[in-house]
Amino acid sequence: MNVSSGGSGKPGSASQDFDLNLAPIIDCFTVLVTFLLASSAFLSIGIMDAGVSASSPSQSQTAPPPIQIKIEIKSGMKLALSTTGKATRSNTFTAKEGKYDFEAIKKELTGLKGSFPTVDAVTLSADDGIEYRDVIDAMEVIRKTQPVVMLGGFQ
Amino acid sequence: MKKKGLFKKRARASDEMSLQITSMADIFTILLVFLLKSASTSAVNITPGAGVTLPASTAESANIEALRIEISENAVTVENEPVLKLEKFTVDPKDSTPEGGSKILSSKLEINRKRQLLIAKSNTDVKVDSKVIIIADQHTPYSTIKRVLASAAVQGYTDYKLAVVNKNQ
Repeated sequence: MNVSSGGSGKPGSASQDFDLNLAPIIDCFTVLVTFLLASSAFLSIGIMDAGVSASSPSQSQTAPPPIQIKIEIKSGMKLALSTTGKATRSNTFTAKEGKYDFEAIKKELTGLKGSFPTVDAVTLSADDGIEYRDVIDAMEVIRKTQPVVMLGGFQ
Repeated sequence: MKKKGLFKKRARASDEMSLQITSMADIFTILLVFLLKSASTSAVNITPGAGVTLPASTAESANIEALRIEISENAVTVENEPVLKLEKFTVDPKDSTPEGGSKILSSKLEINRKRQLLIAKSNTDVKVDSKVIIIADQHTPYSTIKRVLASAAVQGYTDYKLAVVNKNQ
């Protein structure tokens, strides 16, 4: 690689062109690229926040929300939504086209958010045999309207 | 005589051989910038173990440093140390606490918690953390998840960070 450093360009003047030795730079780059390739993670890991839904005496110090929303993932691809407090309701949604009817849950939660905007938490529980990925799928749908998801179903 | 002539020809052909290092340096620079940009800056690297397939989600990635509990088909590990044996994701029913947790896992987490409390006592900069990262296989039944979470909750780990594979990237 030829690099010119401030030559006058006049014919006959001493040339200040010099060759930059790229070989050691390439060496450094090779080592760096190898190290970064070896240490980089090609799987992008995301993080979902969840709390634990359990009753304790200290919880009673804060004012309870107007309604408590509970969603249960039941075996047989059923989803049950129930609310207690100022509005009491209970709905069960069966599978649609062999998949959980998360759209119905989303619609219900959007409706509840409109009626009770201060409510921002949902307790999610599942039957024992329900797979973790179904719980995560449900959490993802819930988080679109209610940012706080508490995992329940504990003894 | 014939052999001599052949050697002369070969020597002439390899006279002007040079490697284009400039373009090579360009490629390496681009590679280096890309790798540096995508490199994680977190001290804790969340990498699921072999055979663990994380569920997919659109959740954003975050640099969280916390105790890692991994649930695979055969074992529950705490900070890469196997603690509890599983059989096809199922915990031995005999190993259960009244709170719905696991005795073995609970005792291991208690040790970690005590260590954390001791460090926090002696160093005011360190705060007791309730965060725990759950790295579970997507096929893990909720009963096992519940048992692990209950064991963690008993020891004060109530802020769960569920590791998922980011769908968007």
